[in-house]
Amino acid sequence: MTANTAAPSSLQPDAMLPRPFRVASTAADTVDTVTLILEPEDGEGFHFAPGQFTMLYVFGVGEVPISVSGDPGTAETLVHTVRAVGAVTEAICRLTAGDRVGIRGPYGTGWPIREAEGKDVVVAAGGIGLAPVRPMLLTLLAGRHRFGAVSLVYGSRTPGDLLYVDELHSWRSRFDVEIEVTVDRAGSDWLGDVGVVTSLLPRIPFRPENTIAVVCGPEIMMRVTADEMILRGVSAASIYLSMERNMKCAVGFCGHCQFGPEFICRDGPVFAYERIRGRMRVPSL
Amino acid sequence: MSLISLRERSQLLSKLTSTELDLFESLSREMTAADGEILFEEGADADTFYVVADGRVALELTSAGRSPMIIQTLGPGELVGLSWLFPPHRWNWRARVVGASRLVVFDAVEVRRHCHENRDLALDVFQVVAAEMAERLHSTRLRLLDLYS
Amino acid sequence: MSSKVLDRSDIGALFDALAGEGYRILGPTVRDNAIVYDRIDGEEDLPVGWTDIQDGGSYRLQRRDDNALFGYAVGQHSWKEMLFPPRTELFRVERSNATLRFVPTAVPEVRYAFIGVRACELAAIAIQDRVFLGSGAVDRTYQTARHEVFMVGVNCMVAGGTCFCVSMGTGPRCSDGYDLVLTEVIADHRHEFVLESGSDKGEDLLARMPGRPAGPDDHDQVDRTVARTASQMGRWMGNEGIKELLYDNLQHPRWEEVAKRCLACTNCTLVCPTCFCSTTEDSVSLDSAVATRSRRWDSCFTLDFSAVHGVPVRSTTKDRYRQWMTHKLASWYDQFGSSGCVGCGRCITWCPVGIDITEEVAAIRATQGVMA
Repeated sequence: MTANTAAPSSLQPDAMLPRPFRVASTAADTVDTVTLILEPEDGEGFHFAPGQFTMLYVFGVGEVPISVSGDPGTAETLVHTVRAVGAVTEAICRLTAGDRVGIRGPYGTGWPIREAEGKDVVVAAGGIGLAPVRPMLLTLLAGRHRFGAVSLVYGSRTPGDLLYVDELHSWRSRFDVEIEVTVDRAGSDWLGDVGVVTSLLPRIPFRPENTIAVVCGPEIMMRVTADEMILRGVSAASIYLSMERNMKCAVGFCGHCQFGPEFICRDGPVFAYERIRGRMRVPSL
Repeated sequence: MSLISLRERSQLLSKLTSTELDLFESLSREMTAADGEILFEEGADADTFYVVADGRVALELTSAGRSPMIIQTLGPGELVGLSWLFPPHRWNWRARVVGASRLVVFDAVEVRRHCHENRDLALDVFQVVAAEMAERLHSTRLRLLDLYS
Repeated sequence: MSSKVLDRSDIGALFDALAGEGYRILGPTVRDNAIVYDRIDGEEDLPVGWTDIQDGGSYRLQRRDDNALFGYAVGQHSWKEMLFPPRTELFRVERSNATLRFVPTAVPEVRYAFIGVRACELAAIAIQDRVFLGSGAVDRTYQTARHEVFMVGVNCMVAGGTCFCVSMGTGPRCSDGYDLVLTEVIADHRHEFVLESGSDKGEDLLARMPGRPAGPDDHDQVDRTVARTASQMGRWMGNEGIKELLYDNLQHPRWEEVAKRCLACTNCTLVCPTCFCSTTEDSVSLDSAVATRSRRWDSCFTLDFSAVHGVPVRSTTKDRYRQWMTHKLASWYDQFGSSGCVGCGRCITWCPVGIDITEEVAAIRATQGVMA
């Protein structure tokens, strides 16, 4: 160490300063979930890797980490699917076209796209967890020939909680992707499955020793799904999860998102299960 | 349809010996069921059980003044019906076919009789059904956790 | 790098030279019966003739039998307050016609001279340099305050009752990170300071100081002072293999035990010179035209620190104490390549119930492998 650090001429762009974005449109997915399409106002576009997130700032209310849900092939817009679970997300869900927000990022690690090339890919999503894997699914489908069998298993509380229903239908009509959806509770008008998401795994095609699994949802759902994949022969190193913790800065300064030695914001949110499996079993870490 | 072709996809059938599978074959027949067809009603005698070949079966609860709730769906390879193995041999749920389906239906009374006479067979049958029950209990417990909230 | 010996009567020249170069001089001074860091104008503002008596949950000042300028250990303040202020405005957002304009808040460009920085504190600043400047993103506030600091270190002439820098390998000798370091020598009717430079900036300043060149005897005197202080450590941290020790004992019953005493008051994290956690606050002007976003110190001991959608991940004091201590002593190695503890002892002294981090580690080590 020297007594002097770099002079301010080397100051990088302010890590905490958002870029202004305009809300182009909003659409309600469910009772408490909204998908927003945002456009950067500085004309510089928005590039990201599937699995990354941004910090979304609402004027005077606050800032929250939100996974990017859009198509990585489209830089003109930024798509976020947000569930109203707190003051900031409730404010986000109340936004209407023309409103302005601030965006920092994208931040964090992405889903293992390169690792998945040539392999079967199982995407398992639970609840709002479909939103962060949507860019991964779009990438898999856009470059379909680069991957082996591709499947999505998606679990939700009720049929009314399902996200991207139209898109699920259109994916289902393709012959090169297996889409299985299940819910915990349904009325008799529901034509799909009722049962836990792991019960869908026996139905989908994958060669366990040659599979990449992408799992996203609440922590318990990810744990039981990952453990089930292991029982079915997939190695913990080939299973990827997206972790969630409190986050204030997204650049490793605020300390909130620590999970043992990892900063979820910087070292994650996407981790190989192998790396965090032991710690996920320690209560309240 | 031969049970052997279904064996790969069925937890139950895959665990039976070939002799046992032959016996099961002789006590079964293939059937097609139309969407909405009721395989059994809650409270009725449980003298059959099914394995789904294609399609889906919903177990549901009906009660006055409430629209039916689906408690679980069963798909290809899965066993429909557990109550046939345990006294008083009465169904706990209604089983309704969702979409046109193909099933194999077994004569539960005969399977029970064979089990009574052949303790080795009984042990194997109880083991596979118990394994299935353990798995359903596990799935049900996971659902109690409200996994997607 | 060169060295010089200044008589007590000449030490004012150091303050004059720093003031002459436009530095804002900060150093230890007595306020409210404690030694704090604040603006000082000259050596007369230092805690002349004072020392401090420290133990778990206990701190008081006492007169020395000499007029030493640096005859005490560290107090509840650390230099963290100057480089990473407790509260910082990050930016303002101006709203007009539905558009938002984000305006970064100007960071005051103050040239600080820190007087009396101890070896443990230099180590702490080096650690925060890695956090805020050296691990990816760069913190603008920290960098602006930090880059021009003139660092005057002091080799400790006494150890405090809760000091354990020797076991952490950070002191008591200032080995790195200073522009000038001084060692106070009071012996044989002499009252002198041995000044050594540690940078070009320090070398330039030293050249303009009065005094005589330091000789072998003077350097021996520095060595003896440092050795005497090293022998007086009030505490000892068993630091060997500590990362594995704590990682392997996340379910140790000792965490429950310490949680019964811990008040989760956050004192330890506030006085710790390396703790860097912060949260953000938003406010809006009355006419809703301007919003402000600020950052303020936070502590992993608060309940909402770990809350995701309003539900805390670490809901008990046990969880939070374990997080603080395993972060400080174990996961810090993985994150920043060193311990997060420099052995300054502040967390022990300023804990209202006297919880001693060295004792907690020793207790876990003595009974490791025990599962709750």
